[in-house]
Amino acid sequence: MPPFQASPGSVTRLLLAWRAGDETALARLTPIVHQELQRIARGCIRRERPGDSFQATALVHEAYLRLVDTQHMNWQNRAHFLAMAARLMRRILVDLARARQSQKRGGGAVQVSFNSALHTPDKAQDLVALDQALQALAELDERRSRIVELRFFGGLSVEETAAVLTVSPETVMRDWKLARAWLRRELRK
Amino acid sequence: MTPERWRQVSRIYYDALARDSRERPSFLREACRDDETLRREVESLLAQPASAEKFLAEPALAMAPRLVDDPPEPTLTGQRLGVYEILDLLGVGGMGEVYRARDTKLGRDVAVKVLPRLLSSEPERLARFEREARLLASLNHPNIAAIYGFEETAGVHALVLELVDGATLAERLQRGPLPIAATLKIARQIADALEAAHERGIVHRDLKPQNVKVKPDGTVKVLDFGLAKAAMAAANDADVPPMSAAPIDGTREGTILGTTSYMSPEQSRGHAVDKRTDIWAFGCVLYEMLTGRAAFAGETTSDTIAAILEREPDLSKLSATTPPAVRRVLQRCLAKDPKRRLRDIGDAHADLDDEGFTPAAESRGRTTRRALWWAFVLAVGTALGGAGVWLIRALPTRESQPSFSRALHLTTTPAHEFGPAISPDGKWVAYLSDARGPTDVWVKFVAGGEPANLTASMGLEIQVRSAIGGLEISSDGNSIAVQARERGSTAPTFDTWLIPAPLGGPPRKFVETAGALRWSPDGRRIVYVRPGETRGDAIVVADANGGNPRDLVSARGGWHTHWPAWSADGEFVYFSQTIATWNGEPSEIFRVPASGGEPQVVVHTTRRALFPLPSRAGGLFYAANPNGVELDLWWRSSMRSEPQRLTTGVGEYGELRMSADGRKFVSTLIEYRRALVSIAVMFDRSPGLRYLTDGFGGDLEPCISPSGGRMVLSSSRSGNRNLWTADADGSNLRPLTSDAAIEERPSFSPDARQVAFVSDRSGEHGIWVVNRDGTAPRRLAITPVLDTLTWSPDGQQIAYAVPGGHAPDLSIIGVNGGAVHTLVTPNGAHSPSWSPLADVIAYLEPRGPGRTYLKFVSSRGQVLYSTLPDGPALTNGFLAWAPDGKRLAAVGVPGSANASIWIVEPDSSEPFRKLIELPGEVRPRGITWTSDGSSLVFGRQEALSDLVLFERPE
Repeated sequence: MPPFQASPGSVTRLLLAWRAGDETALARLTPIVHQELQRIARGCIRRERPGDSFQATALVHEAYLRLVDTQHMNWQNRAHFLAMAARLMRRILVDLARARQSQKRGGGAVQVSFNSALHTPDKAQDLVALDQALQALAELDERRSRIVELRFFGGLSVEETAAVLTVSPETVMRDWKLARAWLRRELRK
Repeated sequence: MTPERWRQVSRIYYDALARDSRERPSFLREACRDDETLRREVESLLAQPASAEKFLAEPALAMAPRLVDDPPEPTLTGQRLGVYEILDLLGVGGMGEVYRARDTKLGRDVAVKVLPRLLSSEPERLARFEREARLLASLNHPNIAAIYGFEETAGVHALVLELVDGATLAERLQRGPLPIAATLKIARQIADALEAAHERGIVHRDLKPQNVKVKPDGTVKVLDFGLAKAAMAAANDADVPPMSAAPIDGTREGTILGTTSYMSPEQSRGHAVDKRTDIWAFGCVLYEMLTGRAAFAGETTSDTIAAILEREPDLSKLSATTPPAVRRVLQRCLAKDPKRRLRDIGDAHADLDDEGFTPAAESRGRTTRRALWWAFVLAVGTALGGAGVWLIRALPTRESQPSFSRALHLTTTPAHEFGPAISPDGKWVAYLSDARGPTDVWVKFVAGGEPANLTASMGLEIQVRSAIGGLEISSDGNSIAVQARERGSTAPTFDTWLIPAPLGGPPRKFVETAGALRWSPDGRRIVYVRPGETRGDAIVVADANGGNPRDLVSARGGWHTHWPAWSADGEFVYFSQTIATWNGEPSEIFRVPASGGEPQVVVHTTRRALFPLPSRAGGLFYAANPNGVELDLWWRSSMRSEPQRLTTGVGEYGELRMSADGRKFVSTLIEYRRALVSIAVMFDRSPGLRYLTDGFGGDLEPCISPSGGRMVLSSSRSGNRNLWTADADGSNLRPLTSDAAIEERPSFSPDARQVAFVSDRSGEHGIWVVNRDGTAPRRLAITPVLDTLTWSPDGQQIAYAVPGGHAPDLSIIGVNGGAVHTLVTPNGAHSPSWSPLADVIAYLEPRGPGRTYLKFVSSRGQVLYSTLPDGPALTNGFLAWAPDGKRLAAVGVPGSANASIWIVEPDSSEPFRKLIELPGEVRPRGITWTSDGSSLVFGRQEALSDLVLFERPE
């Protein structure tokens, strides 16, 4: 059943409004992105091999291309957009995870732990825990926390992340390594 | 921890990382001295297991499916919505939840469809939706589930619908096909419903078995009539442009493929739809009832769309007892072109009635419909018989020959799309296109969606031709390599730049003066072409970062070396080589060990073998035209094995590229328009272009006789490329030669009694002369000829260019004696044109990329017009003296810009004047003056190219 697919132009406008501080823009963006995620989710279930990070990256890009009018952006704008998109993804995914968590909570206590066998947080609570750890990291080290946001939540490549933060790809690689080591340790504590 | 402390931690962490793990403990002890906490902090960060490498390596989006996939909890159960008491959840569709509810006023059960928030939260959209819904509510038909009304209570918006008990057709079909009688009974009722709606101008747009309910008494109800459109219309408010994509979404209602399978070709292309889309869907549903399987299905949405666009439904799956009339209806409903599809669902109804299940058929006006039907059959028959549709050989003729399980047009725009590369995972394609005007790099996902322009705002000027090598995608899929230079740069050369992929981003200059860059399969080396134009191209191999470059194939004058490609094992580099500019005849494929060595011929031909693409198991794909004039894709399983043709049909296939798993391919499909065009030589107003021939005869390289009586040209209108003569206005065409050969570049002798030309008719390239009546053909020499042939004013000699040393040289051969001598020029020469009145040979002097200039010499080697400035660069160009011996037409065809035609008057104070610049996809081939010197006639070759995607089965 079709499609309240938003046009790329309207998403771009909403994103800009959100950046300008209009929180209602987020409320309007969320269902659009949510629907796109569902579309991707169905695609994933039907055709993707799990755990193929390249495919996941391509999916993220595909989602952005569908959502946002990148054609009419210059690439400096695009860097801003990518940063916002990453933040948006983080907000939405973590909110979803939180909603999921409370749905399933029932009476029992929630085990907030990272399953070390998994490379991507598999459980909703893992994502919530990661978000909290990331906030802690941001207090310590804003840039490294943003790198995680861009790379993990935004699905950006090292080069794209470097472009957004206007640092070299080498710096991104170094920061990324340390940030992950720190987060992983925090989550296993 | 304080930020200062954290900085300390990270510094020591990086320092420790840089050291061997055995040295770390002592390093840490020293670095942290007696700060035990600091040491433990760093140690705990360093002590990550190997598996930590993969931690967060996969983007968060990978878990999105698990977060969003569960249907939302039913929230309205037990609540009251106006007069409706919500009883239970019936299902969740793409549009929202559907509940069974009790109408407490009328005392009947209804279905309540809750609108999604996205729709209901915007008053504008909601109003639009309501308007549409009201129109739909006016539909009153026994086979259409009614819309009762529209309810709004406490911010919840819902449609109230007729509740239909019974199974959906989809549920019935899960048990397999239906008997013919049952099928026809259901089909007729669906057709009735569609007919009634269509008469009111309402299109369903989303007909599928899930939307058809069969009540226990056998009555059929079609659900959700027009809701798809209402929803679309609601979404299309003024500031939101119309959606391009048709619904790609599946539904949640228990089917594997959702809507996609029933989408019509025009719908899946995002075109406007009308009632014929319902007729298509009706055909799909009919097929599914008869066979128990979807007419068009693939594992993925894109596969399904490909099947819809390209494949015919498998009619062999129909039971042998299926009545012929029903088969006909199926075929007529499932015609891909809506214009050829059944016009009216009533026509299908008539045929279904023919099977004797409805005695009342007579009342439906069968006679007219029969007549229409026959007209339709004839129309389809004619269209198919005459259509030059390209066909892919589906069945392998030998085990090792690859077969393409599907092929589809990735682009069908009027723009010129070329130079493609496919991502390693086969999911997206990068290509060059002039859709915006200037050439840009575009990315398009195979699964659908709009292409994205990556370079429009980048400040780069992108190569406008792909003869050297087109685009490349790195083996990690993160970069696109493109030949480009900074906009506004006057540098004569183009460099290879990298663009982040597939989303774009800041470009980075990677290798200077380089094109056709290709990463080795292991990603550790690169190979590229260092273009030298007519001075010859070199192939260079280097480390992946561009360091340590060394020439693998060195440049030789006149040799164009293009399209390098690595063998799968990284041992060899394949490439094509030609002396003809722009990959013309003859072009052959070679390979050279990547570690260095002698190139070896892989595909030997006097025609063209281009775009080598080694397969993963040691075979070779390439494009060639061994028997014709247009390139097809060919395949050889090994160096020695017999070549197999993979494609047939109209158009030229080339630029084949492959995904990492060797299953997905992208290729350019070019249709050429080659026409003779006349242009007036005037500068005070726009020189009008006049087509002398229509573009479909493959006419090129005109030469008008000095007296103006007759023109000779090279044409492929017979299927071979032969010489033809015509009047100077292009009329009265007659064949001059008729061999199964490639014959081109004809040139009239000054007395117009003979024609010199280049031919491969003896199996080798050489210069031939034939009388103007076609008699006495004779070979003057076996020799490679770079470009034009030109006669001396006395008709005793012919000059031409041959490859050599650092640059090509001019040779002069006696027409009757056959002696050859080389004409020494200071810096090499090609494209000679001998003045009709004096011993002045104009030629082009190649001085490196982007620097080719007009020069003059006598046949004795004396440099003439030495004070003339360089003028415009006439790269890859050619020349023609006017009959007055005072002016020349000079054509430049640079690799980086549009072709242009200049008029050169060496004795004038303004010697160089541009007559016209041609569009990017146009390449002039051959130019001649009319005998009065007022106009030029040139061969205008225009490439109309699209991209085609092929897939190979596992």
